[in-house]
Amino acid sequence: MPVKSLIRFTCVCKSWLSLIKSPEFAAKQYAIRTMSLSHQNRHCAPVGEISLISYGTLDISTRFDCKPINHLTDFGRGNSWLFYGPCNGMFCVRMLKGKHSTLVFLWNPSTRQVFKPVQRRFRLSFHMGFGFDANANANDYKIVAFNCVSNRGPYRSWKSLITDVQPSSNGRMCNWLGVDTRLDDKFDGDGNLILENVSGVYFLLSFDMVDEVFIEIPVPVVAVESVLWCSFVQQRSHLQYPAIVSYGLDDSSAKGDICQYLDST
Amino acid sequence: MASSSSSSLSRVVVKSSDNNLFVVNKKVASQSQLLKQCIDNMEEKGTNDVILIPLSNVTSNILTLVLEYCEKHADFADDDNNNQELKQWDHEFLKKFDYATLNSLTMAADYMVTKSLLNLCCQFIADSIKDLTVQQIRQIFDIKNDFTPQEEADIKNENAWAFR
Repeated sequence: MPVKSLIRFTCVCKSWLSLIKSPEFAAKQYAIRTMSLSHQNRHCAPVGEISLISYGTLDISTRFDCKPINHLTDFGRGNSWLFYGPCNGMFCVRMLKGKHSTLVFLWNPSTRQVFKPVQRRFRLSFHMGFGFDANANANDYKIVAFNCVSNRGPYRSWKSLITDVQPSSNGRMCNWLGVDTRLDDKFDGDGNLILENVSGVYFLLSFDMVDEVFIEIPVPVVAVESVLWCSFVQQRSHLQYPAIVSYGLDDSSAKGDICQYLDST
Repeated sequence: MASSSSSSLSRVVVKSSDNNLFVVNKKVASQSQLLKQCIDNMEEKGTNDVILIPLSNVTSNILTLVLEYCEKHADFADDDNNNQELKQWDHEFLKKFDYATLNSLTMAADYMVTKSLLNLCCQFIADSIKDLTVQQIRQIFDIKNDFTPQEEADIKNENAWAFR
């Protein structure tokens, strides 16, 4: 059943409204819909490994057709939009206006709803990573901002670079986390950083959204170049963004391709 | 030819809510997890008698339909669910019914734990109502509009795009 029909049916009667609006119904509907859509397009089937759902499973007619809301009117043409995710069908959108203004919100393209988290002030820099994740039990989303504030070269231990973790919650849709990493390395959009240690070995630094800790993951040698390139692509052009769809957690890291390039046009 | 020495049943008798009896081949009955469970239980006990399974929630005209579906599907193996011919048959099968019958059939499939029929009915109903207007939905399912005009207008306004 398409989302559009469901939304129309919310005004059949009160019990239909409360049923369709319930998170349990939404989760079920999303699961069924994703399954049937991925069945139709096998090449962009969702990958379960780190719970990222491929962009290709979304309904084409609703892509990037954002519901206008009042506080977005400041952000007209000529400003940057960055999209992260999707995660359970939800995107995290970051809008950049000039050098000093940024706005972050969650966006559900299927229902065209926009959720605005409590905006926290954080220092802004060009090298900024965002991760976000859904807590399936609480129907809650967590957004993590990585902010790089210095321009240092290869460092000795990433652990010493994590200076500040400040969880705070508004108790509604989103939780905010600020993580000041003092790193100036390669990011992709999903809370993973590609880093080079002192001996010149690349690895993936991934932020565990559940435990809120960083995890070091070796990168397959063959993948290093493409990973670096995918970071570059994201920073240069917003028409393409990378998503890590699978990676190995063991030393062999033999799972092959790290990146899938998702075209947003 | 009847009594085999094993305690395996070949048939069961199913009774509808209006007290009609249906003799059902075991293979056909096994399409329903509810009936299958009953058969398995009886076989464990080593009964050779034909067992009677009363279904207090299913009328005979609906039961006839469920059994017709089970009979057709019993001829296909489990992994044959994508079989084009079977899909075509499923579609033709459901096409004949009005919403009231479809509704009862869905309930019966749920009660008798015939998952493939349940999924089939749900998807069929979903497909056939997805393009209908709110007014048509209320009519078909006999739903009373319990919104005030203002409440209804608010909901429509909030998601105007879905009503175009």
